[in-house]
Amino acid sequence: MSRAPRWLARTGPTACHPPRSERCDRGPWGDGRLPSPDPTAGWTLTLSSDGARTTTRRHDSLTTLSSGDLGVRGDHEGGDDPGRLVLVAGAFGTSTDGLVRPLPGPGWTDLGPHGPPAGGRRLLDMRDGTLWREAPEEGLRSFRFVSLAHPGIAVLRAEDDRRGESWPAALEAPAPSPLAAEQTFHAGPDGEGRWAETVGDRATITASARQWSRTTPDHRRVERLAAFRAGEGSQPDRAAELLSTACATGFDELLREHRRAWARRWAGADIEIVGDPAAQLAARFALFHLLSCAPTHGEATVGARGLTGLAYAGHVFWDTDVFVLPALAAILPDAARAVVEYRIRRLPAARARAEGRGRRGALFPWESADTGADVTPGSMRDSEGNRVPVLHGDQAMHINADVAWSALHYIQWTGDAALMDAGGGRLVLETARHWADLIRRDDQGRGHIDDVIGPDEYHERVDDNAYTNNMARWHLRQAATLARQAGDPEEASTFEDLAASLIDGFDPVTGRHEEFAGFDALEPMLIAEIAEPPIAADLLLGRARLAHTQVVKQPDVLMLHHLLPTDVPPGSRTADLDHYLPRTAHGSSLSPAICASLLARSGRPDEAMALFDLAARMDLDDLTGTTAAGLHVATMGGLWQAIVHGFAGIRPTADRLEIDPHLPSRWEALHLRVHFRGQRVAITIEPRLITVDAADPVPLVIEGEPTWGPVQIARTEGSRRP
Amino acid sequence: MSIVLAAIDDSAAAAPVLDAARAIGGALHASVQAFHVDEEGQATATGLADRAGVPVRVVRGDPLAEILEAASDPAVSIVVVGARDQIAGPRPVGHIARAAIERTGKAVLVVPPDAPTDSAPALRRVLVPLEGAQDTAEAVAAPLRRLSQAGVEILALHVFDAEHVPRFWDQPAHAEQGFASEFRARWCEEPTTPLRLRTGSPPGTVLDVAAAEDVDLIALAWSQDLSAGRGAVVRAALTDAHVPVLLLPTDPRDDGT
Repeated sequence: MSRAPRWLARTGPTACHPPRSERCDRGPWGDGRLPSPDPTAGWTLTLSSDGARTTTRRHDSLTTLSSGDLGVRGDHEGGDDPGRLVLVAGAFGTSTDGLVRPLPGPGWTDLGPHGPPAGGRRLLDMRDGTLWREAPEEGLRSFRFVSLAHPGIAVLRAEDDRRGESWPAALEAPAPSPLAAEQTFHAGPDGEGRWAETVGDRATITASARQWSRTTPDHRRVERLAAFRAGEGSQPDRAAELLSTACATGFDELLREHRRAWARRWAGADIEIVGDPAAQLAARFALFHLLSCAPTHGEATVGARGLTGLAYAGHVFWDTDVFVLPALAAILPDAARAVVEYRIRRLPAARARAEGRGRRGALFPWESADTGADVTPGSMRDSEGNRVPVLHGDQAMHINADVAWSALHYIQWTGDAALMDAGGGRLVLETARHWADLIRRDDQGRGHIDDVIGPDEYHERVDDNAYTNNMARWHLRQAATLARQAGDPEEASTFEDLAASLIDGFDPVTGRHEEFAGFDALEPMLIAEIAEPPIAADLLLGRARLAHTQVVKQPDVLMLHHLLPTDVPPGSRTADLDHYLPRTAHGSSLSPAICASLLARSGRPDEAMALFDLAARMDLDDLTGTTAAGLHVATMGGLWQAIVHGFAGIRPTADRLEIDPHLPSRWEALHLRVHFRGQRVAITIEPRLITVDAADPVPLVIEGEPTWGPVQIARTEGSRRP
Repeated sequence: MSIVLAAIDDSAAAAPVLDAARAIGGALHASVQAFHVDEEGQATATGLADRAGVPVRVVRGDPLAEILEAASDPAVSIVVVGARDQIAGPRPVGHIARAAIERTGKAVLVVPPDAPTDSAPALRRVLVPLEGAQDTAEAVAAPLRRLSQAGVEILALHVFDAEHVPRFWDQPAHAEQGFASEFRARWCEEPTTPLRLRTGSPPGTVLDVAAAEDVDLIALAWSQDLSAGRGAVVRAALTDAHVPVLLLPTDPRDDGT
């Protein structure tokens, strides 16, 4: 059913304003020519397909364009592409299965004809965030971008050889999907343009679009502009206003502004890996999607697949806090701030959740969407088809410490201490209060955290998970500092006392940590005895069997070394790596990059490369079999961390930037750029030289020696590079 | 109109063969014809066919040669044969049935002697094990589309074994949904096809799920190769299934479907 925009409901001659889209009365749009592709090596992802189902939707994911507010998959403009999808950050709805899922926006890329998508070639230019496509069977060539300079605006130009036919309407209903929120679709003319909206029970996405076409003796061309807005209700005026601005700007200027915006982002984020083209492409691919996964204003709802697909229901996990944010804090600080802001604004919901469980403080949910309420599925099917409860919602307590860590890590990179007064302080304090209420003291006064799930999800309902306890201890100590600064020494003392009491799982005899109480008594199975990792060991062996073994899913104790490298006993990293790595199935796509990072930092960079390559190729080679449903944004964040924290050994501290590289023999040099304390820093690591360049002095610690940049330092004798 | 050819012998095992032929013929809007090679009598066969209202053709000669000859008619889309003539426990498929399924290029419906019989046989639910490969998905696509259009419920199954278990399985509740959605999109005609994901040995798991889901028929794509090390699922289904098994060649010949 078509419903007219609300502004048309007004009566009276003076109330009938002309549609805003009609203000797009600009002059001739030039010849509508498509910009030429620029297949520069290392910057372009070229994908060819014969139109088969197995490749089309996967390529749609890989070539998603996003501004952090608006995401558009790289679908086929011709043909009925079921992978066609538009997402707006933060727009959710309830689906038929009762789960909160992303609300798809109106489609805007249909250029006809209808039928199975044909094959062709796509070029994703990652340097300027544009997608060029050629489909010879359809005779279609297209070019599109999602504007970074004008959030919410998408632009498309296309040409084909089918003269005499009219182009389809600029906006259409989204492709049906069981992974999307339920929605109704409305559309209609808006002067010379078109409006449409998808209406869910929690949000509405409104779109306004206009297109121009021209037919020449050789071909016909079309240019289409679409504007998207999302909110609790319909926003036709705002969408039309956005479109009007874009129309007035015009294609050429929109593209120039977009390219300039991308150039600015790359100037503070690029990574160049010399001597390893495959790693170079993977690094830039990861950076491209990281740089466009979150807006740089307001709040950022970064789901597990970002805006590239519907998998994982768009829910926000710890993935965002400890895998994505560390990259954003260094390469796009404003986006990282928006990620933290998302958590700050959901503190009331976290507070309510803790209260509902009879606890003080605030408790963030394992899975979060728009409101901050817990949207973790209550059950799932096991490998025998039985419906079993999902315990994460109740037991994955470490999320609280992850959120706090994320906020403080942002400050370490940016120096943005103002965050603490803008909600960051409350975030750290209130989540710490939950730990204070949760910790059980035994007769000897030792602190325990019982009945939890750590990062290793093969083992549930465990006590004194080393990761959870140590993160909680660190968290309480940070909160103690804040409490003391806030003039509450009593609470500060309580936090410090509890922190000191917590069992940390470290055994000075073995020099390593026990993952949880009783882990060492489990069947000492190594993953190689089951299968070659990575492997979903829970599917292979069954969860019940696996829970009795020492096989772990992903870094748990090792995650501690990754996030809190200076809060663990000296020397324990090697002991823990040697103990837990052979037991790690890497059944999580988050796992390989972190392990690669730790191996690199431990002076084993060449050994790290197999795991690095897994992370690098996760989506490019569709290693999970699910890339078609969205890209693994957290894996990309992990990959960045492997390069920067692992191989480059770069880490921000309270007042300096530490650099302690371990380059693999495959890499001749590594150039990277980060933002540190408000300025861009360029770092080059070569076998015998470390160069740090910055506009202003930057405090450094290079291979253990304090110094100031800009600087060029010869690497230590017996350089770390093997 | 295509023909479902039911090759019946003169034993009690002929009854479920006829009923299976009528059930699938009804679903596919195909005519059902019975075919009997008279070796030691025809009374049971012809009597069953007459009572079922199915025309029967009786010939003399080598049973296998005659069945293959009759099946070669381009109008024949499915050949229905009995797995064996005796019920007594799991046993390999009989030599004629085996030769028929290995040598005819048509779809073959193999009916165990203990398959249910019904005066008004109908197909409600069909189980389709899929390994996630282009050739097997293509082999089952057209027949299942026609069954689905006739209102038969299609239930897909994918079994994770050591060779096919995913490398990554992040959050199981979401991973299952995402994997299933992608699997259906790649290998099922309809994106809404119900899909069961199980872990185990594929032969045993297929039979377990068939029983648990109370299906009327198991449809398997196969390469017509039962040599050692090949066709484990087909072999197990032919030996142990208590419902008819529809074998769809990945490389059909004279396929009338």
